[in-house]
Amino acid sequence: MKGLIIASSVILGIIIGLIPNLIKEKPFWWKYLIGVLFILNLVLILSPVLVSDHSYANYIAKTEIEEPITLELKDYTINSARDTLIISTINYPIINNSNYDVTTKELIEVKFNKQNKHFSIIGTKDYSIIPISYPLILELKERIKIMVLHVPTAWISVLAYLLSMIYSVMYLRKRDYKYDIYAHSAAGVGVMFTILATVTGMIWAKFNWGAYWNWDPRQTSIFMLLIIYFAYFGLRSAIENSETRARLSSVYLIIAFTTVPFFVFILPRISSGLHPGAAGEGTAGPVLGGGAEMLNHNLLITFGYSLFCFTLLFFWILNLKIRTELLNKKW
Amino acid sequence: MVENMNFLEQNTLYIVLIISLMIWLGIFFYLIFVDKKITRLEKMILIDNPKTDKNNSGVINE
Repeated sequence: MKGLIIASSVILGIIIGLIPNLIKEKPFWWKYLIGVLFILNLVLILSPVLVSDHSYANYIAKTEIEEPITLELKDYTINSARDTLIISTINYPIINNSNYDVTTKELIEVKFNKQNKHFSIIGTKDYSIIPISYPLILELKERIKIMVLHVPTAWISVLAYLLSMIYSVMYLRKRDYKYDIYAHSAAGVGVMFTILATVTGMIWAKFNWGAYWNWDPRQTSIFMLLIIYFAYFGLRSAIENSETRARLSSVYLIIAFTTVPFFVFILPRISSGLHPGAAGEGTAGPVLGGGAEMLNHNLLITFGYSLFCFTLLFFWILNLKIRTELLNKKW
Repeated sequence: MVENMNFLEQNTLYIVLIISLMIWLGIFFYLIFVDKKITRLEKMILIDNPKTDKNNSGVINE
């Protein structure tokens, strides 16, 4: 199910992104559609509240973590004699000491009391402007929402490098300079998205792991990828003859792309590190892994939608870049 | 107005949302501006060199 949503987001993004084609001006409605889709994307990412599911509440109580969490009141009864909520799937009582009115509310904020082994209600909450919730994980809290912006930028850079490799192959087969321009443009946009993924990851790492750069395998591998593609631009600028430049660049991009799946998907998972999905964790990470954990149903759909929006944005930027390069060539 | 400011002070994530939306709208309208400029330049080149396109693999208005 997870794979289906993610794959269909990318495929739909590619299909719509190629309307009418890669190099013609995009239609008016297409451009403004992206604007509206992205506004909705930002609202979907930022506004939902964070709610713990009931199994997480049991985990909090078992490990005696005394931090506030938000619970959804599903299937509860009130023991009026002791003003206690009983939720069938939570193994500990929830005491309403401060007499909060929970009869019309769907969300309550609770804090575990390890001395008395119960949850105390410390407040009530409403759903935000959008009536959906994302999972609350205490180590991340609101930072979990960064994933929906950070991971798509990295995956879009893989798409860009793949396109650059495809156009490089087409150039070598047909020796038409337009394919060299397409490949060069795609590599440029790919590097831009890789830099965005690296910088957003660094900011997230500072708050999660204490430092901007930790030489974590995933950070190291994306750094290697940047070096490989920066070298591509160095190679291009060093060759004056256009035919030689196009030929060597194409060969370089084909070989460079062979390193992309290894650096992006394989190396970070076979080495132990700080990133989720590293070796020894038992899962392939929150996005590709099989468990629910960080990615509940709502967050998964938002992630797929964000991937779709970023794919469309990528094709628009690529379209502008290619048209600029072609104009330069004509001039 | 005061109620809105109190609401924003208590729900600071909406401030982040407003700023993110403003940044996105800025980027979006800049992309629209660049797109229009490129289209204008393409039309200028087509007017100057109407035969340019045929051998150039469908660059402008295929």
